[in-house]
Amino acid sequence: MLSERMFQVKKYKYLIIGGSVATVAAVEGIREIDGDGSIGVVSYEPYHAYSRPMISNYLMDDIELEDMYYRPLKFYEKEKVDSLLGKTVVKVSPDEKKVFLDDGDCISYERLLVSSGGRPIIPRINGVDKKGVYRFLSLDNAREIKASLKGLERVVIIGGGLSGMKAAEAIISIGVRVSVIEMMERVLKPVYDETACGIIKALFEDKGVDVLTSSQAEEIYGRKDDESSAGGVMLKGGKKVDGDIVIMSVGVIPQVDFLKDSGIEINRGVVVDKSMKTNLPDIYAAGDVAEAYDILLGINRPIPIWPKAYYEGRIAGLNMAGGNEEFSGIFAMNSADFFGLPTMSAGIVNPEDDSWESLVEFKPEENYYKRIVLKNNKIDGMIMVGDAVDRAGIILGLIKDRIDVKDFKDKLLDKGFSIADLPASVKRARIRDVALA
Amino acid sequence: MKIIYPKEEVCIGCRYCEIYCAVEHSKSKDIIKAFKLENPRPIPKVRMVQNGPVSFALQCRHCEEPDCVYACITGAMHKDKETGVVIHDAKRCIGCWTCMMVCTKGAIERDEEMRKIASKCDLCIHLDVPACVSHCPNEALVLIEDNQIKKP
Ligand SMILES: Cc1cc2nc3c(=O)[nH]c(=O)nc-3n(C[C@H](O)[C@H](O)[C@H](O)COP(=O)(O)OP(=O)(O)OC[C@H]3O[C@@H](n4cnc5c(N)ncnc54)[C@H](O)[C@@H]3O)c2cc1C
Repeated sequence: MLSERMFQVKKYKYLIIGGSVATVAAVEGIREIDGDGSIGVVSYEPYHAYSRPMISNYLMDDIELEDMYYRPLKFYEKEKVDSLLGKTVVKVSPDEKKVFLDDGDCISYERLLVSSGGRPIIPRINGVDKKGVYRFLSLDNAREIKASLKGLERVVIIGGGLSGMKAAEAIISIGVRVSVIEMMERVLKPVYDETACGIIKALFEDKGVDVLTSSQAEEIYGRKDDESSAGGVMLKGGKKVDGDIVIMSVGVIPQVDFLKDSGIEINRGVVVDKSMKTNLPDIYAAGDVAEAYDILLGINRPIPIWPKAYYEGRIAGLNMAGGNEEFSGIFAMNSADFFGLPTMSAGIVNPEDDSWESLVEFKPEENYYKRIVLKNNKIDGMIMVGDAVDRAGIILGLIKDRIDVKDFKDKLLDKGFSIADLPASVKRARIRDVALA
Repeated sequence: MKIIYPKEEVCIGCRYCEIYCAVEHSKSKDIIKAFKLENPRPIPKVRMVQNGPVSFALQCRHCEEPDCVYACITGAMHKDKETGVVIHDAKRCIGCWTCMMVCTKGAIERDEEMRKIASKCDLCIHLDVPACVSHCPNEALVLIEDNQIKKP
């Protein structure tokens, strides 16, 4: 019996845990080099890879799951990938080169990629188990919230980060009142400086969102008629914020629970080298689950953003298939549109001391704000709001490539600033070519 | 694949490239109708950029390693395997501007005339020669095979 069971063990040359962007990127990377090697993908979300950031659009607009697919539905089939959706990996056993699933099955691999993303941080607040308390991380979360919103009057969101604010935008847009509770003195504090946060906060308040900063959620209390269902959030100090449902959006941490006894080195996230290898042979990691080298801070840390997950997934995939690629590192970068107002930031946006200088242009009446943060003539950070976002990538490129901007610093804030203003060598690299051969 | 190569030595900054690009991407493809009658007005996907006396036309470079494709959060951007063209699927675009944030060339714009979506060069893949190239009076834009250029 045992041997019969063993014959059924699936085996893949490449096995990937996860079903999101880092996974898709890895498949694309593998297939650039190896057109035939067998690929298996295991993901507990029962959906074809979708755009996670679009769950706020899903909440707000009349869109269907099909509109959210990150790659066409036929992607896995076309790339000859076996996708095992709705299955959870509970254990990785590097000695046997096997992973174990929640349904008792196990799968063998030659090379393994861990791209299991993040899981929600559960804040230490009483009452998080009540009915009507939701998270905002997945399509399923958004579906539950959407289904419960009908007939509701008021929603409380705990956490004024990017996804909390996107949830607030979505909910107020469909006509339900929203309060956002933020522990820090301003919403989006890690992402923007005081001025940009001020513009965004004013915009939300103008749309009718209640923004409560320097407010610590202490307890989710029950409804008068039903103690087991959420009725609102009590703040430190005793203030009550009523809500028919509560959405907790206090951030993500790497999803590493199932790796506990695997021997894979974990710091805050899975530790990887530049080629996306973990400490164990033939095991790679990419995306939100993995730490990345922050080229501006000079440390390894989780940076849970979509572009990083793609870059890393692709490099992992290429290397798993025999490539020899390195990821040069990344830094925080975000672009988010709130009620039609575009906002962006990258790198160091709240410099610690005045060893950094800033170039600033602020036109409050137009919601136009541009700030460039520099040290020793190298750009370390940028913030753009409103029309200032146009061609922001040129500045981001100067951050990434650590370009000395001394000779054209006076032009950085110009509206017409373009690659024509860059030093000849950088300009040529941007145009893509040095010269006609 | 083919790419459009700008020659700044001969560019006179006339912006014909912009005009004919906009016309080519308009509904009517007629220069008068496109600018006078069409709503939304077509916007050019190529821009003349300038630094003092130096100018050249810049459009999407259809990069070998396209950051916009890698960073796009919806899957609206992709690089066609056969032609190498970086294609923007307007239907899938939600106007988050992540592509614009990572395009180190500044070659992606916001098309607010039409809908809040990204706008970029499609290499006029339906034509033998892209409109900006064929209408450049000074041959400051040339269409070449990318193996004709030296890599940086
Ligand atoms: C509301 C919201 C808005 C966002 N907006 C932006 C934005 O605008 N820009 C941006 O850059 N980033 C944004 N992000 C962050 C971005 O979505 C993430 O950085 C990105 O999804 C990370 O991708 P990933 O592939 O690493 O993992 P994830 O997308 O987290 O996916 C992990 C996958 O692994 C699977 N999985 C996990 N554990 C297991 C297991 N044990 N067994 C089987 N399968 C498992 C899950 O099913 C899931 O499919 C947003 C996030 C949220 C929640």
